[in-house]
Parts: sequence; C-alpha cells; structure tokens
Amino acid sequence: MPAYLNSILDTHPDIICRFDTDLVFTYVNDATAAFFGRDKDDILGFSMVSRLDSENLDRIRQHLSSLTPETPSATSIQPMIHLGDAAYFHWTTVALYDESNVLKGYQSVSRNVTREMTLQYQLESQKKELDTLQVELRSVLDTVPALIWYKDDKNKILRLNKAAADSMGMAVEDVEGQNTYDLFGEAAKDYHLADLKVFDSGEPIRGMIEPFTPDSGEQRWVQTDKIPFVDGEDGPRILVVSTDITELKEQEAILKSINKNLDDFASLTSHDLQAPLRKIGISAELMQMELGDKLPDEANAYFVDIAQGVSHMRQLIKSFLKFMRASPEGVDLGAVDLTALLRRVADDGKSALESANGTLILPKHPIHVRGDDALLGQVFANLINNAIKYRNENRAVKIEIKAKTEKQYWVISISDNGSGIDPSFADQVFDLFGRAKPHMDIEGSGIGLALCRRIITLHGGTIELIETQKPGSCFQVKLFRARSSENG
Amino acid sequence: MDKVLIIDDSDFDRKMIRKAIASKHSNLEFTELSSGHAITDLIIQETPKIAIVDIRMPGMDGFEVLDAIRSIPELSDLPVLMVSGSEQAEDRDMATAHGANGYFVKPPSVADYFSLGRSIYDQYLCCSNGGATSTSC
Repeated sequence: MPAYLNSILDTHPDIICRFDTDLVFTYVNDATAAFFGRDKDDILGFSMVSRLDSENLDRIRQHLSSLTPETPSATSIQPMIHLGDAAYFHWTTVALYDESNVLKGYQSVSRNVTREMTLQYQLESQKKELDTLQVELRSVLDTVPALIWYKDDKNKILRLNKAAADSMGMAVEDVEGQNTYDLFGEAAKDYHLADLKVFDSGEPIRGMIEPFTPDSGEQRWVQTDKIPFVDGEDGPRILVVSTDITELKEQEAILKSINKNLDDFASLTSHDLQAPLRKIGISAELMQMELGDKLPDEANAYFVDIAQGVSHMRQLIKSFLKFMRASPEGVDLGAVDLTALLRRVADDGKSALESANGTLILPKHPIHVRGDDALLGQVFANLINNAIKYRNENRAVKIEIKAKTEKQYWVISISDNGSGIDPSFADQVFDLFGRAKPHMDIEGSGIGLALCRRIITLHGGTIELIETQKPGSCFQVKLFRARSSENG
Repeated sequence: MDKVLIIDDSDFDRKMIRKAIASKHSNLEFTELSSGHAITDLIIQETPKIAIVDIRMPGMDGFEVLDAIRSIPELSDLPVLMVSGSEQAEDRDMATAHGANGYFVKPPSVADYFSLGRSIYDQYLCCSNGGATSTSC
C-alpha cells in the first residue's frame, strides 16, 4: 500500500481493518489500534479471538455469518463493551471472495456512534413522553365541557378541542387551520375585533357574554375568556375559552318570565286588596262624618279601630309588595326595635290572650334587629297566635319570648306550654298548607308559618322548630343584629 | 253647566270621585259609565269638559278607553285624567305615552279625596276655556 494511503487511513477517525477467515488481522489503521488500546504491532498477525471478549466476539461472528457471495456486504449497529463501557458501533463489513467464491477474508470500517445513539435514544424517549403528554392533554381538553380555541393573530384556528368542534357540528381536523371568517361568516367579525383588542392591549378579557352562531347551528350563548400570549417565534397567539351558557340563559329567561308573572300577580293582588280596603276606610270615615254626632262615644271609638286596622293592613300590603318585588339583597332593611315591636304585638293580641287566661313574658332589654317592622310584626303575631290557638286545654297558656345574641345574630325563642308539635313534622309545619296532623281539626289557613319562614328568609335569617324537654313547642328565630349606627 | 265624564267599573269609586269634585260646586253635571264600551253618540254630543278614566277595568282597560276617546274627533282634545287603585310607575308611564293629561292614585282618605277633587276643579273646570293652561285661575 502506498505510504500516502497509509497516512490517510491512519488519520481517519473510523476503525478500518482487514482480517482473514480465522479473524487474524492483516491490516489495521491507528484508529483500530486505539480501539483495542494496543500498538499496531500488538494487533497485526493476531486473531481477533485473543483481543476481544466472548460477548463482543459473538456479535461480530453473527454479523459476519450473514455475509454471502450474493450479499457480501452488511451494515449494522452493534452494542459492544468498549474499554469497559457500553458503546454502539456502526459496522460496515465486506466479505472478500476470490473468483471461485472462496472466502478469503474481510474488510471492515466501523465507527463509534455511542453519542449519536444516546442522543437518538433520548430524542425518542422525549418524543414518546411528548406523545403521551399530547394524548393526555388532548384527552383533558376533550373531556372538559368548555370550548377551547387556540388562534393566531391572523384569525386562524390553530387548535381546538372536541367540545369546540362539536359545537360547530364539525370534526376537529376539519376546523384546525381554518380561518374563522370561512367558518362563521360575518359573525366572525365581532370575535376578531375582540381578539384584536386583546392582542393590542396584551390584557386578557374575561367573562365576556356573546352570542355564538356557527353556520350550521342554532344560536347559542357563551361566556368567554380571551387570554393572550406569545408562542416563541411564531408571534402572538390567543387562547379562547368559552363556556356554553345557553341553558343558563334560557333558565334566566324563564326565571325572568316567572318573576315578571310574580310581579304582575303581586301588583294585581295589591290592587285588588287596596280597593276593598279603601272602601272600608273611606266608608267608615264618611259614616263618622255624617252620623258621628248621632252615635254614642263608644261607637265612635270603633271608627278609630277601623282606621288603625285599615292603616295597618295598607302598610302590610305595601311591605308585601316590596318584598315580592325585591330580591333579598335589594331590600333596604332598617333597624327594628324588637322589644317595642313585641310589646305592640302583645297589645294587639291582648284580648285573645286574656280570653285564653294566658300570660306572655316578653324580654325587657333592648333588641335591635335588621328588618322590616310591619313584616316582623306579622311573624311574631303569627307565632303568638299559634301558641294561643294550639294550647293545652288542661293548663293556662304561658308564652315566653327570650332573646340572646350569637355572633352577628339575635336569637329569639318563642316557647309555649301548649299541645306541642311532633318533631317529625318539624320541617313540614313551615310548608305552605303543611300543617301538623294533630292540629288538623283546629281552624287555620296553613299559610301562617310558611309566611313566617318566607319573611324571615327574606331577612337573611332562619326560623326553626326546636326540640325541648318541656311540654309545648319552641320556635327559634335568628335575625341579623342591627348595625350600631342604625340603632338610633 | 260643565259636564264631567267618569268611567270606572267601581260604583264606590265613581261616587267618591263625583263627591270630591262636586263637594263645593253645584254647577257641574256628571255622566258615570262603568265601562268604556258605554260611550255613546249622545255622550259625545254632550261634549264633556273633562274625563276621568280608571285604568284597571275588566274587558276594555283604561288605556284602550283613552285611545278610543282620542280617536273620536269631537273628543280628541278632551282633557283625560287616568286613575289607578295603587301607585304603579308603569301605569304613570303608560298614561303619558297614551296622551293622558294627568294621572292620579285613588286617595286613601276622604280628606285626600276632597283635596284632589278641588285640585281637579281648579285646574280643569273653574275656567270656561278649561285645559291644562287654566292653572292660573
């Protein structure tokens, strides 16, 4: 071999060698010597068998055995133990045959590709992880009910989830890469304008409620968040997350309609109640004006009672109308002097209590709650009347009202020594027409306690029947304490 | 003699409106109808000076009656006051929208009724030319 060729082969980084059929080296370059960690002279003329361990040798023999006169050349990547470390070598071996196809030896060029193989392995491993992550992400995106879109600043949908595609009656792959103008027509304009606003400001838009009308579908409503971000060198992107609130909107419309009907009903009821009330009040007034002189003082005193009753009823109607129309949050509640209110209610019900030979014990300390005076009067009058109505005939009626503070509440208990209520009816008694069975024989509308609960609930409070060891029943009402600035 | 047309399905309210307006004036003549359907040619020819129309009436409500009055050429300029049993903001708005000259809620007491009657008389009946511009008399 010419010396210059020898020089070229020695400077080549690949392991280049020749060996005979007994695997005895007939040529090795410097890289081969380096591979074995020996001098060239220590390799040339020696068999590979004496220079390689059995595992590596087996691999090489297997590689060589695949060579035939028809396919004298083979390339493979073989794992090997090189200088004690695992390594990969890229082998290209050519079997050398003479004219009679008798094998004379081999020529081999190999290269250490451990680094490339390691990188490739890492790459494959990362790709696998990425694929898994993508499958998981897709699965998550396709599971959430929200419609998720990922768009660029040219209005192109880069990605979307299944819910978004389903909402358009299309497949994910048919939408990805499409321009929204092609999909939504003119309606896309509004989406695009909102997107541009987000791109320009760099600030997200949240909770935007908008109609959503795909070409092929009915109009729906969505609540949308638009979040901008920059995706590497690909320019600005926008993540659009929409929640379909069509059903919510429909329910809202139904609720509005129900409220409107309720409001109309309240107005009508109020009007229908006001008319006879006005008639009673004015007729009594006219009667007093025209006949008062001819009537005894005792009869004239009744006109005062009528006027008070009419005025009280008118106030009640006004309060009810206000409560029927307003949401609990919207009601402008004021401070109510409950001690005075209870005294007033007791005075109004004095004759009923006296006829039942009863006693009523009221709290004397100041109690100020947040509420509506007339409506709360109605509640406590109802509870006191119930205590009288459902009394135990074997003992004199005794009603006791106590109040104590508990955090931001006044807790007012109204207990009696009456016939009591079976605890299994504890909830039922507050239902409309839900009277406790043992009392079905006693006259009553079945509205009283339902009304009490509605009034107390509208005040943000609670009313419940409390179990006690004593005979009779005990109702507990919780009402917000009036703010100190309101106590006046 | 000035004529006052009162249309209200409630006998009691018609009586009270009449009593209130007529309390201090005997030179008035009242025509009371329980429904807008009862407006006849005779009533139209009587050319009332003012009409007081209840809003909530069965069949034909007050606004329909007002529209009907406005469509009769002889009554197109007739001052019409709409009356409601209870304060309703929408009733007030509707009354204005339908071209009523005024809106009031039926008063809760005799004194208030009489006070309203006086006010109506002063504004629409005491001067021969009547109408909203007569408040100065």
